[in-house]
Amino acid sequence: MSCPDWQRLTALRERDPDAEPPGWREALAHLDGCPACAAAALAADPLLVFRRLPRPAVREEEVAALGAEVLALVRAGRREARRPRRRGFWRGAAAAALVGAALLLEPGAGALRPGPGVTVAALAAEPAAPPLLDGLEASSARVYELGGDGLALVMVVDASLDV
Amino acid sequence: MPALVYSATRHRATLAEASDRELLAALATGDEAALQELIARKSRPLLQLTGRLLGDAEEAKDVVQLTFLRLWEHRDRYDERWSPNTWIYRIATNLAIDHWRSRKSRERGQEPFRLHLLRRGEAAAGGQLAALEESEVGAIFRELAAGLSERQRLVFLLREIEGLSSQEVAAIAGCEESTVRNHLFNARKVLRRELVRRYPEYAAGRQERREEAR
Repeated sequence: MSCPDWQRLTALRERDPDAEPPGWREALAHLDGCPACAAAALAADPLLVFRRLPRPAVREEEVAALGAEVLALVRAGRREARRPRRRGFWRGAAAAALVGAALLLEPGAGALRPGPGVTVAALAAEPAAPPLLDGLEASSARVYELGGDGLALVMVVDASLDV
Repeated sequence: MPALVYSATRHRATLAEASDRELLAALATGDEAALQELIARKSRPLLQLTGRLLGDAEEAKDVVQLTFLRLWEHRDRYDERWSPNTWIYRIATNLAIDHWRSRKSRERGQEPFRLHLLRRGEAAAGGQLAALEESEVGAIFRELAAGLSERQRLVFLLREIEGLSSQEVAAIAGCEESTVRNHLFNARKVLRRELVRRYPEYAAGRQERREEAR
């Protein structure tokens, strides 16, 4: 491409910066690789100098470190979310104290009464929950399932685990 | 014989082939590997954009880190009508603008870059814009852009430097296209006025042309 007429192009663009005159993109691409054009283009529109605004260099290690930090924070957040809240503990403790006090005040307090029985058959009839793969995606884990005859065995193999 | 029902390596390989939209869908289910893949894909362009917006690489890193954390926290809010890039860029630019507002007052005491050029003897010798180093262009932009509002700065960068369309810029900035045009017009006006006022030698060609026109 020969050097474009910068005076004409920038005059057209100045009328409406949002509309691109025909050949504008090609002219900009040409400008990026033509030092001879730079003086004419910048004389026509000094703001074109900001096309040379440096694009910050980003190294692979920086991206890797950033990713590791984000994932560490995400996992810390998940662990925190799983941990029972301290407020919950105090509420539970207060409820237990109330139940204890009620038992002590009741006639015949201290005698333990058996609760409703649970049969093995009833437990076996409950559907088995599928294994949760929460948090495994970012590891190198493999999950194997060995099933049959009412037995469900799930093996999680992860070479990175330090046991 | 145990059957392999899940392999993290195989899962990651699948995600590496997935589209951005598929990754966001996987992210919505709480898939950390999808987040890892998004970080690998989007960190570089996000660091470059926020680096230009903020003019500071370290602050850009903080903003990008926060962007991915925000993406994770709000993973179930992604609306499929949005382009994934628009959604991610919108989060990043909003955070960058917040960051910029909070530290704007610190910039007020900064020495104009012109003094540095004068000391080097370039401005006095009648420098040329084309001869400026990239880092010098960056320093001049930071100085002049301090006179822009956050939105004007964002719109100028996305539209003029990154080359996005007004429609894309409007979606990222969360405003109408007409507002984008307004911001762009005003940003160009302020930058040109300040460039001519503070660095007249670099805008010499333009002034001469105006005088000729008179």
